[in-house]
Parts: sequence; C-alpha cells; structure tokens
Amino acid sequence: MTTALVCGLTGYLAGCVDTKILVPPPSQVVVHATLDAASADQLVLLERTSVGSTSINGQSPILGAAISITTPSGIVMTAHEDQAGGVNAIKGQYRISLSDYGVTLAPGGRYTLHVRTDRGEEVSGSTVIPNTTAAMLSPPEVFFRKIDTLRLHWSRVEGARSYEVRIQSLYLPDISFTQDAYVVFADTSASIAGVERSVLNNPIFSTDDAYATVSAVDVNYYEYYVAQSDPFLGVPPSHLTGALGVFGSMVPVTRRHLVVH
Amino acid sequence: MSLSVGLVAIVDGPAMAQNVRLEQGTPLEPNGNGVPALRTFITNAFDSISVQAALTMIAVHARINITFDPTLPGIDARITIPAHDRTAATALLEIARVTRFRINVLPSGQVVVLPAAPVRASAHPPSDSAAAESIQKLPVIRTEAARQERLSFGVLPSVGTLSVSGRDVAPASHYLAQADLLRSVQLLPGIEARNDYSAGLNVRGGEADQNLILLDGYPIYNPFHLGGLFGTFMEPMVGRADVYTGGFPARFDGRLSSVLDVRSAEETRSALHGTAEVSLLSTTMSLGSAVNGGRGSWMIAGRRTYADAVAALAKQVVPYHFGDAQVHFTHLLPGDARIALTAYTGLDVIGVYNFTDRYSVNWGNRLLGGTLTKSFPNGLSLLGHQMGDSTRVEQQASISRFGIDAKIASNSTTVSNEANDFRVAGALSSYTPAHVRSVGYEVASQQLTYNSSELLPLFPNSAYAQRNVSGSVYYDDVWRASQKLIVEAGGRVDALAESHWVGVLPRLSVKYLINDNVAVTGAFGDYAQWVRSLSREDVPLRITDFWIGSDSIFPVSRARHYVLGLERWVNPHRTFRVEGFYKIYRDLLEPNPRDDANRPGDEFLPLAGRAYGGDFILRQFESGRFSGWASYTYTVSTRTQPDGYRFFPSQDRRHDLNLVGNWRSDSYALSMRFNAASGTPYTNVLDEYYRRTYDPTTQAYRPFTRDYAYVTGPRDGERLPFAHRLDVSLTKSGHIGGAAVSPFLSIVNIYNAKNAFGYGFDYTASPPKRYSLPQFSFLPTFGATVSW
Repeated sequence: MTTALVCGLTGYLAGCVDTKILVPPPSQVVVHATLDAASADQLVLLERTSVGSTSINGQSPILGAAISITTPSGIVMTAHEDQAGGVNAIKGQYRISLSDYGVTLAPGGRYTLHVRTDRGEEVSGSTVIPNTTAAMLSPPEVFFRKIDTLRLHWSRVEGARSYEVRIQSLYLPDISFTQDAYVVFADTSASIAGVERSVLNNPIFSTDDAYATVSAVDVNYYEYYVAQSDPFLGVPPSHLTGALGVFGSMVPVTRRHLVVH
Repeated sequence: MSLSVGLVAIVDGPAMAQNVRLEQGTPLEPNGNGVPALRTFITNAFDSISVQAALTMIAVHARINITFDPTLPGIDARITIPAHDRTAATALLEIARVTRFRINVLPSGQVVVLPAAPVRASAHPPSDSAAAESIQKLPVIRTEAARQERLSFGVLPSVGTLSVSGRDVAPASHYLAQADLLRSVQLLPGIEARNDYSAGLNVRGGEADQNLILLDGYPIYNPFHLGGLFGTFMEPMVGRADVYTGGFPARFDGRLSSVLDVRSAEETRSALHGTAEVSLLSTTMSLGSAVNGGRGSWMIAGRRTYADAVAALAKQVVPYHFGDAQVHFTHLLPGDARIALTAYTGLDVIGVYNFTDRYSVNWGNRLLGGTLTKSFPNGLSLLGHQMGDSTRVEQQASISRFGIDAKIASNSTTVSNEANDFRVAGALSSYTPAHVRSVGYEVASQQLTYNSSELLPLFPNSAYAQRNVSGSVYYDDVWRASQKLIVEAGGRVDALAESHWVGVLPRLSVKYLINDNVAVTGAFGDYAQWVRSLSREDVPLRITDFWIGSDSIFPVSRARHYVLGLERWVNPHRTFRVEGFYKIYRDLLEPNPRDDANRPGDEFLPLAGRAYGGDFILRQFESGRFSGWASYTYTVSTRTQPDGYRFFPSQDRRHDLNLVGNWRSDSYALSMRFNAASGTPYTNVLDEYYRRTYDPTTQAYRPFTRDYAYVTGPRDGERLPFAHRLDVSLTKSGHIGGAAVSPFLSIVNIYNAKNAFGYGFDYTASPPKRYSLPQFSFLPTFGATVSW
C-alpha cells in the first residue's frame, strides 16, 4: 500500500494523464549559424519548428534555400546545401567555403546573413566577430584524469560578449558516439578537475582524447546559448529578423589537445 | 503579582464531551482589587460560555498555566492569569457571569470563583487557607465552547484575521494520512495553494514568498516537506494558528502579503500524556506533561515517513523520507516571569547511492528560540511615568536556519542555499481601560547564500552571498475610543544596513460595532519585504524556496493594503465575515531566468502589481455535532513588467470555494472538504524546435547535440480549466484500556476528478500532443491515532 501511495505521487498519477491532439501550428524558420574564425568552412543550418510533423532524423530541414553571407567589404558569399551523407549528416545544412571567395574572416568585422527559403520566407541578421585572431591547436599534452586539473586563462577580447569553455572528449575516429561536450561560459579563467563529471554524471574527460577550446563569442551567440530553455520562458533571445535561432560568431582563443590517462 | 483562580476543572470523559464538574472553595467577600480594570474590557454579553472553553483558551492561547496544586485541599487547579491579559480576564469574568459565579481576589493575589449566592460571607478578606476550609460541590454542567474570535470580537479590530486551533486541524484535513495545519489554512478565505505539489501559499493575489511564517514568534523559512505535500507543523504540537491575510498590525513585518502565527500546544495535565498517529506514510508521536505543580510544561513530538523503509522490504527503492522533531517548554519563574523555549528541526532527504551514481538532496529547517515574559500587574513606572494599570515586558531571541544541499551526479553538480536568521526582539505593553499600547524593537541578521555549480533547468543561475542586518522599532495602540469604536493605530520604522534603506510603515485598523454582534472594519497599512525567494512563480512545481535578500542592487519590495469588511456573529458559534481588499505592489522582484551568472545585478526583474477582490467565510464553530465553514475568495491580480507588458500572474485564481464540514457522533467523525476553483494562468507552448550547438572542436553541427527551445504564447495568457474535488475522512472513536484509539480512513479526491495543475507539450510527436499534469487522483489512505 505504501508503494501504491508512492506510486500515487509518481507513476500512479501518470496513468490519469489526459492528452489532447494539437493542431500543428504554422512552422517558423529556425537558423543556426555561427561564424568560426578558425574554420575554413562556415555552416548555416536551416530548419523549421514543429519538428514532429516532418521529422527526418529528428529534423525538419529546409531544403533548397538561398543563403548568402556578406563580408564587411561587400563580398557576397553564397552557401551551398551540403550533400554529405552518413550518420553525422544533417539535412538542411549549408556550407560556404571561404577559400572559394578568397576570404578570411576579419576580426572585428560585421557580417550579414540573408536567407530566402523555398517558401519565399526572408531572414536576415548580422554579427560582429570578436576582434582577435584564432588560436592554433596546441601540441598534445598528457593529462592525468585522477590527479590533474585543467586550468585555463585567457585575455579579454574587444567585441567579445563572453567566453565559451568547451571540453569535448572525442571517440576518434567515429565521433558519432561522442557524448555531449561540457560547456560553460566564463570571464577570463576556468578550472576543471579531471575527475569532474557532467550533470548527467558522465566523466568530462571520458576518452583518450579531449579538446579544450575557449572561444570569444559575440553577443548574439552568448545570449542565445546562455539562456535557459524551459516551457515557461519562450524562445532564447534571437537577433534575427524573420526567423528564430542565431547568427553569431566565435573566435577560439585557446585550443588544447589533452591526451587523457 | 498575578491573579490566580482556585477551582477544580475536571473534564468528565473524553475532551469532546465537554462536561465539566466544578468544585469551589469557601466563599469569600469580594474586595475587587484589579477586577474593575479587567472588567472594562468586557464589552459584549455572550449567550453562553463554557469553563472548558475558558480553560482551553487560557491554557492554549493566552499562554496561561493551569496547574494542580496539592497544597490547597479541594482546590486542585490553579490558573495563573496575568492581570493585563484581556482575553484571559474576559474569559474569567465570563465564567463568573454565565455560571453565576463571582470573582474575588485574595490578599495573596489569588482570585477565587464563588457561587453567586454565598454560602458564608465574611466582612474581612480571609486568608488563603480559609478559602480551602470547605468545598462546595457543584452539579455537573453542560458547557459549550466559545472561541477566541468571539471573545476578541469586541476588543480588537482583527481585520483580515482568521484562526485555526489544533482541534480544527485534525478533522479538516486528514490529508494523505496526515492532519496538516497548512492544508487546513489553505481552506480559509483569501488563501490558496497553486496545486498539490506547491510549497507555498498565495494570499490575496500575492506571491508565495510573501508570507511570514512564525512558530511561537520565531520565523521559519520553508514550512513544507516534499514540495508542499506536507507542512512542517505536527498536529499534536499545534496549539493554534492565527492567520493575518491583510492589514496586519505593526508588530509584524518583513513580508508583503500575510502572517501565519503558529503557537505551540502546551500540555496542561500532570502525568505523562501523549499521542501516536500511525499511517501508511508516517508515524507521529508526541509526549507532554505539566511539571512542577503546574508552573511549567513540556511537550515533544517527532515524525518520520517510512516509505523508504517499507519499499526496501519489498526490494524496491523509494529514495525519500523526511522527519521532524519539535520541543516546547515553558516554566513560570520566580517573580511571575515566564520563560518559553521552542526548538524545531526538520529534514527532507533524497538519496540515491549505487555503483554508478550518487545523488543526495537534503533540505530542512532548524529553529531555536526563547521568550522571556514578565508581567507587572500594577504597572511599571518609568522616569516617573506610570505605564498603564499593568505592564508586560517580553524579550525573545531566536536562531532560524534553512538549508538545502543538493549533490547531483556524484557531487559533480551542486546546488546549495542557506538562510541563517538571527534575531532578538522585545516589546513592552501597557494596559489601561482604554488603551493597550505596545512599543517594540527587532534586530535581525540574515546570512543568505546561494550557489549552483551548473546551469540547471528551472533552478536559479547565479551565486550570492549576502548578509542583511535590519533594525526595526514599532508602536501599536489599541484604543477603545468608545463603546462602539475600536482603533488600532501604529507604525514601524525599518532600516536595512546593506540597502541604506529606511522605511516608515504606518498601520491603521478600525472596527465600528454596530451592535453587540455586528461590526464594520477597515484597515490600511504599508509593508516591506527584503528577503525573497529565487523560485519562479510561473513554475507550478515549487519544491522549495531559495532565499536571498535585498542589498545595494536589489530594492526593498513594498506593498500597501486597503481592507474593508463586515463581521457578524449570527449566534455564539456561528460567524460570518466578508472583506474586500485592494493591494498595490511596487518593486516586486521576480527571478530573472535569463540572468548572466557573470554579470551581477541582473538576477531580478522588477515588477509592479495590483490585487483586488473579496472573500467571505461563514463558519460554524464546534458546539454540536457539526462544525465547519464555507469560504469563497474572488481575486484579480495583475503584474506589469518593466517593458509595460501587463499580465495576470500565475497565482491569479479568480474563484476559490471551499466547503469544510465535520460531523461527529458518539463513535464516528466524518470530515469532508470540497473545493471548486477556477483555473490559474499558464503560459501556452505553441511550438518547439531543437536548439543546436556548433562544435568548434569538430567544426560541425552534430545531429544529436541539441536541446529543446519552446515557442510560447503571451506570458500567462491561458488559464487552466475549472477544478473541483472532494476529500473525505472517517474516524472511529474508541478506547483500548485507558487510551483513546481512533482509526481513520481518508480518501483524497473521492470521485476521481481529473484536475490539471499544468500542461506538458510534445511537438516532436506527429501530430503534436498536449498532456495534462494531474493533481491527486483518487487516493485512499488509513491510519490510527492513539492518545492517552
């Protein structure tokens, strides 16, 4: 009976759940695009809300869109829809190879995004890249998980709203098994013990190879990703016109490769 | 000096039977010392009043000791009454009036109750020993209880004030096998709980953190267990609780909406007495006794849930339990000073420990407080100024601590909050026939810390470490301006060191007695609050509160109350009260869920607000087989964001009806509670999508690295549907040996109404679905109470 009582507080109540079928609302365009000063290719991910209605691999991709990014000097770069397959492929991902236009992302420069979907929806936004150059990946360094603490320090960057610290443990070469990264925003330093675990109780340094990246990020990126997301809050802040999501930028200022023991 | 009554009050049979036999000492000539002053407070004639009611009231409410004095043959019970205590004096004189006894004062200061027709008269005041020379045997009389509310009707404005006694708690809400004070309080007008799982009360449109909860005058921060399912107050330890839902007097402050003033029960019987309540969920035990010839008393109670232990027997895991312990001790010191000590500790524990994971969440309150009271029946003289006919001085000190310590995922994620409250307070009250003047002070320090090591959904984000020091002085004057007009006027000055804030907060309550049974009332007051919760009002599940304070960045929140009411006593046991209220809030601060952990000062968003409405209660006090009440509350509450957006906050319940009834027969007691309430606002989820993350390590988006983002409608733009529910409890009264044994069956939601406290949405489904988050469904429990 006690169990029943406890179940009354949990599972028993769930048996009384009433459900109602909702009319799918008109979908909205969702843009995820982050200019990465360390990358030769820039990616724009284009999807729709109401992911359940036309879900492909958990997605509602927008195909056949016209996407362009304009540089501070006025060069218009056109994105091409990715045709890559495989488990890590994402439908609705568009790519701009900077080398195609002889362009490198300019620190402190303002870039504008324009999207026209196959339904004629127009999206625009802009970002100012933090004013520094991207750091190179440091040589591999040994990290003893049980005794070491990763200590990261960096200098502030003009135009950076904050700094994203990302610890990504990779199962190389097939990163499809890689768990989510450990991500925090910090000001000028961060310390992460080797034994630390994530909210889901996974070791942060879980594999032989871990990459610690500190990126200076612009205000668009920061506000969008730092925001809590729950059903009482609404969408994360977006600086886009005509769509939900983000068009932001980041410049890695520290990139370390840890060989974890 | 105190006044004492020598009498024998023997309760014949169960307390419920209310048969009282009196035996009285030798009659004496009255000299009347002190009595006229007391008599001036009596303004209303009651149809009847019982000795038992008086004794109960004296013992429980007025904090009077009833002792058994073997040194006075035939006079077994001594009641010590501070001369200025209007309630006790009123009761005492009413005993005399209704039972046709007379009251006389002995040279020793004792008072005896005499038959109206003296058996023997004397021209001179006799000695104490003479009073005991002979015993008058009086017939058994049937009495009917009168309530504190009735007795204070003619002497206090009592605007927005409601009371629940320990006897009300048990029948009104055998709720999940627990008699729960806070669940009883929620059935009173003006007070509501958002749902079955919310640790908070919303009073007349206010937020859940705007209620001052006092245990014997000491603050207690989170008086709930398990997300509001149970209160911290154990029924055997509850003497009475006064609820001030608006316009409360100057001695209270620090919260904007209400005060719940809970007083511990005191055992007035000698020898060891106790209760044990055993249910499916928990066991509560209490023990107590009057000691030292009635000059003191002690009472202790403990409770623990054992779902975890029972589940373990079935090799299942219920990783939760909670426990409480409370001690209350009183003693009358030489010189008629009285000391009272209260200690409470409660702890909720969630713990999962296995090979891979360790989760532990512990939270609870600890409280230790002491009050020293000294009465001066002839008044105090200060700097040549006589302070009333009598004077009372009270000094108290307390330490109250709330703490939550959550260690999640093998301690990798921690959330902690501590609120350590230290305070000393005192008051000096003087009593004259026309005035009761009180001046008091309070110095408090609150150490408040909050820290979360990770960004967690629904949890506050930032870290805080604050120390607030506040100082307050107040003045309050209950003025009997005329036979028909009672005015309670006063004010407070509060100062907060960290904010460099000083507030002057006037209070005014007025009662105009149209006749002996009808009065109109009104009140006005300014209120301030500088400690608040980080919990978000919009989130319907409120597991607990996280407390932080005002400082140089966060302003003190303010409210102004206007109350207008009508109170009528239909008969000595039935009352009707209706009140309208209008409240203005400013500088309300709500937690900013989008605050930047690296940017101090954005943790709160300011809100302005208003609330207005009305509530009524028709209440039948226990006198016959039926007692109960019908209460209804109408509330309109609005809040305005800094951007001008105005909305109805999630506690804005427009209609709330409660019908509470208790029927007693000789062997059974049936209790029912019916609630019907309109829905509260919620924010509709219109759509959702994946928030995807770019990974600079692999320079790619990965398909399964994502979380949900929700497209919502206007804030609190929709309302939950109308809800209704009937809870029933049946108790059988019986005896086994010398113990009273009362098994009970309690059924929550007996007709299994499907009430929702919120909605979940799934737009990943095709088609999308909305599912309701249910309140309690049909839920039977049973247990038994044993008392001796």
